[in-house]
Amino acid sequence: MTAIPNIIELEGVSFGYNKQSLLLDQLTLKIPQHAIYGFIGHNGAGKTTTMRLILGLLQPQAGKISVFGKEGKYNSVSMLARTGSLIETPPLYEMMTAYGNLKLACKYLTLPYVRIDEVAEMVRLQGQLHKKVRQYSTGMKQRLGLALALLRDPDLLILDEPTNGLDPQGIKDFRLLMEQLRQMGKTIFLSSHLLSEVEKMATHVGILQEGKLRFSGTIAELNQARKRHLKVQVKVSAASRVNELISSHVLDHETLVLSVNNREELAGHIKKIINAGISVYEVVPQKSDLEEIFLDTLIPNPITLC
Amino acid sequence: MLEYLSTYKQTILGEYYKAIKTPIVYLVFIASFLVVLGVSIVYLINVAGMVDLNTNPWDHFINRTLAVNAIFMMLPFVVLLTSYSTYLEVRSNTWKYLYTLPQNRSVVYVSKLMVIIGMLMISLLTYGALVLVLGLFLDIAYPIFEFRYYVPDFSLFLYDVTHLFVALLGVISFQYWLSIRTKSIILPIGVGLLGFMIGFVLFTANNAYADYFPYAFAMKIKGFSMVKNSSADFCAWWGMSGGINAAACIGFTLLGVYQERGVRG
Repeated sequence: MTAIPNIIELEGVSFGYNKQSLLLDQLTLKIPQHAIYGFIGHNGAGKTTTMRLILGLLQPQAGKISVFGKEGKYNSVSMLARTGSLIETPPLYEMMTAYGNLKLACKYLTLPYVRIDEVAEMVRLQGQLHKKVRQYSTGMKQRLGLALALLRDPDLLILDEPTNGLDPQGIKDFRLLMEQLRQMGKTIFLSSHLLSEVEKMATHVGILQEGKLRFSGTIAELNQARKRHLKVQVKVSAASRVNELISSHVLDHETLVLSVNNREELAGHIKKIINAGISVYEVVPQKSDLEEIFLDTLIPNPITLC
Repeated sequence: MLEYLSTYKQTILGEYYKAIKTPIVYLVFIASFLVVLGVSIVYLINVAGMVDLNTNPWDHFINRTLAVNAIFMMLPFVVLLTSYSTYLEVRSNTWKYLYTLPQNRSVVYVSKLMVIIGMLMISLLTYGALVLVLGLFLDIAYPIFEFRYYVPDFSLFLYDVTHLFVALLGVISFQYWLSIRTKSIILPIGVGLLGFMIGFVLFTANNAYADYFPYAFAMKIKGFSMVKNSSADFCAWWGMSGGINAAACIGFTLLGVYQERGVRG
């Protein structure tokens, strides 16, 4: 079996706006071809900085960045010809119409104007193109920003918080579009605060904390990690007595949540409860999403996400 | 080479399209219109004072508008034009889009500068056209001005406008470079207005340093008399001020290109 090549490779990349504090510290990241790579981290973790470094908007202080197999610094023009991006807020001229914005991009990229209708259909903005951008809602601006990124039919899409401002239907449409693009052979690198959304669309996940990658792997590998950090809800005759025996989170007088690292540990806990003369009525595994893993498991001191 | 030129062409076309779809275009036309309109209003409210029988009325009309344009309007206009052109990208959050286009950053830098210079050219051409239109309008309102019986000296007029255009290139290159480096509107406008005020003081005091200070170069243009007499003023302007102007224009453009190329090889 041949290995899937990596579209983006970061090796020991460090970056900081001042020498005292590094925003990214020896970051190593590999994004395979045809993947939807969800990049997760709290505010200030370094997600946007990583994306800006990949696009050549910032220069790393140490380490190597390769895109499409070549180091970015020497290959950036050809790399950018194959890359579409949406970093932070969409780059739009508000006094122009949406069509005007897309037409301007076509002029820069020497693309035929028919491409405008194609991307407008992809992001479901048909019929809205002749409105001034300042009349657009946040979600519509986000769609238009995505259309700009898609205009050059890129092999690689780098999207920073692309679901910001989208309504639930918009998020669903976005998810479908990402899957369609992946099936068309595109590679997508996206960051999001909506961790449950990333789980629904990504094939790979990377979790960034304080400039360091805490986890990187496929969704299956993440599920393995989730199994290793199992949570079960247990109904017993006296929850407070169980809490004296085993460290747990008591929900009410007969319900508690146990955190265990594997099934054997769980069996041992149940045995201990029964041996103490407490009746066990129900044991239900809790499905933890990425956010829970992110907050409860991978970060020793949980922080609040925005 | 052809590919390189094509990249410049498409970026310049893009920048031009953007300029005509944003308030930049209003700035270009309003600047010229205000000058000619202002002088025309003075003609209308002071007919007796402005009539100069048996001389070509176009000479006076052109000289008066040119003086107002060169001394009061063009410098603040280019400061605003360069600052707004770059601030537009900051406000629209579009720098990162421009910098992720598949082309060298210096192409964006030079193309934007070319379009700003093109906008100055359009503004001066508009000024020329408005001088002719409003001159004829004044004649319709007050035939005593006798504009219709005379023909403007087009070659001198063109020479003066070209002179004014060249005089502003140094300031444009510097202001544009400053706007790009600071990505701000306040600082370049502040520096530009300070330069304008110093230039104006040097010019009105007839100080010798006005010949070395680019913000005063446009003010030193004295209309038809400067060219007609082939005066020492005219030769000195092209010799000293023209040289400093060319050096400033080429120097700051090359510096900007070098700094942009440094970001992406």
